[in-house]
Amino acid sequence: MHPEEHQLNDYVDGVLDAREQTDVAWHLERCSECALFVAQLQCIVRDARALPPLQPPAAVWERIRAEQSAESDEQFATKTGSGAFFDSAPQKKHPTPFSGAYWALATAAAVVLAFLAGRVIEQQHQREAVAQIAAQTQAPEGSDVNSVSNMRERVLLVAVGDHLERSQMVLVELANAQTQGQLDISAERQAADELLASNRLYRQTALQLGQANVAGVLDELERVLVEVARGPSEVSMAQLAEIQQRIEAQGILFKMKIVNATITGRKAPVS
Amino acid sequence: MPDLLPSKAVRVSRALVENDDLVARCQAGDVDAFEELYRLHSPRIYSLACRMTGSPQEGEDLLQDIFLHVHRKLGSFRGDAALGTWLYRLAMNQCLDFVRSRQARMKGLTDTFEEDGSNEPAAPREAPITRLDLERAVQRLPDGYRAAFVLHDVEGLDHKQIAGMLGISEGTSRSQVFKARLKLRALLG
Repeated sequence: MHPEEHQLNDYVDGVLDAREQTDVAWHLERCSECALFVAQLQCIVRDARALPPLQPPAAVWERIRAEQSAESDEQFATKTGSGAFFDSAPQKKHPTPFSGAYWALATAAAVVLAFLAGRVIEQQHQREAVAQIAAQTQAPEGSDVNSVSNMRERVLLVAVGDHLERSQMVLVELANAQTQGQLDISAERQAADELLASNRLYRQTALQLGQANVAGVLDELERVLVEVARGPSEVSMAQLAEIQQRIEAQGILFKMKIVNATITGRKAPVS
Repeated sequence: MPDLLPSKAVRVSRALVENDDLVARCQAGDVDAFEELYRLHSPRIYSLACRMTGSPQEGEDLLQDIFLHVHRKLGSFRGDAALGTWLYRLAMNQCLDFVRSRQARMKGLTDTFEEDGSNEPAAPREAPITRLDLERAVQRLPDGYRAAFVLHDVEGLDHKQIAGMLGISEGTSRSQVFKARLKLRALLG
């Protein structure tokens, strides 16, 4: 009679009492089926204990630095009073043509430009741009909260629309690629890697702004981008088919088109 | 040949002094010191975060949150525990919070796993199991099984500690680890 699987598991952990341990050991010497089971569990336990530490991607440290800088600036601004524009605490202000709404609009326009220039600027700059959107959560005194919120939304939509178009180009390339042998996808891989960092930022910003649908699609896109960015530069026919199946199975291109079409309809010019 | 390496006791006390110095520099706002601290400790914390969440992306997000939290909290570090232990505890708490809140959002994952009945290896495996195979298989475990497995088999905690951390009984922890191993055995073929 074979021992139960949980007994064999306890044998692997060495937690059976002495007699049971001896009985199981005796059985294992005579039963190749149970011996194989135990060997497989031992292998899993041994390999799990030997798993080496993973190295985080360099981009994580860049993002931490950017966040820290933003926090330090905020603290500095609070201490010196130079952050008065974005402080929600009531401030005594002189009447001026540069009212809260004007500044919110101007900042929004600047952020749009920053996002559009995102094709050439580095990832940490994109982070700062997104941080600016977040900074606008503190509505300037006297401004209409709804209009500021709408502006932030429009800024995000412009940026995400542009991002989705670029991502779509990469995925369409991969979805339509064909090969009989090895295929060099290093360009797509690099593009996916670059898109990945901004994708994460847009997703987080979309969540902050309550754009759950946009965040959902960006989340699915991120999974595909990670697979491509972390995969090999050259893929075999089977590996390519696997990537294509992933793109196909999630219907990600279709979802991106829908979101993009919705965005195009919603991103009325900031005026 | 004389042993030119410092004794273990000397190495440990030197490391403690270096840690104290690093903490003091971080607390004084030295950016390079904080980067040094990140370089020293991020691999272990990132590994924990990736394996506990089962997702490299979430692991990255969590690592970022953890170190921002560390940055804010370093001022309150008094050196009662070793820096590494303090960081690990803080990281572990954040990972557990993450897993708990996700479990609350995605109730029923474990039930799905119980029902799929796929604990038998599909076919005998010809190639040896690689580290990557195991990492990927661990990612595919349901949250509850993965958390118990990572804490027990990877991090080396005992069932009593795991039970306390995850808010489950020791028996449940034992059972989760066992089921995780069965599932991994099936996944790894």
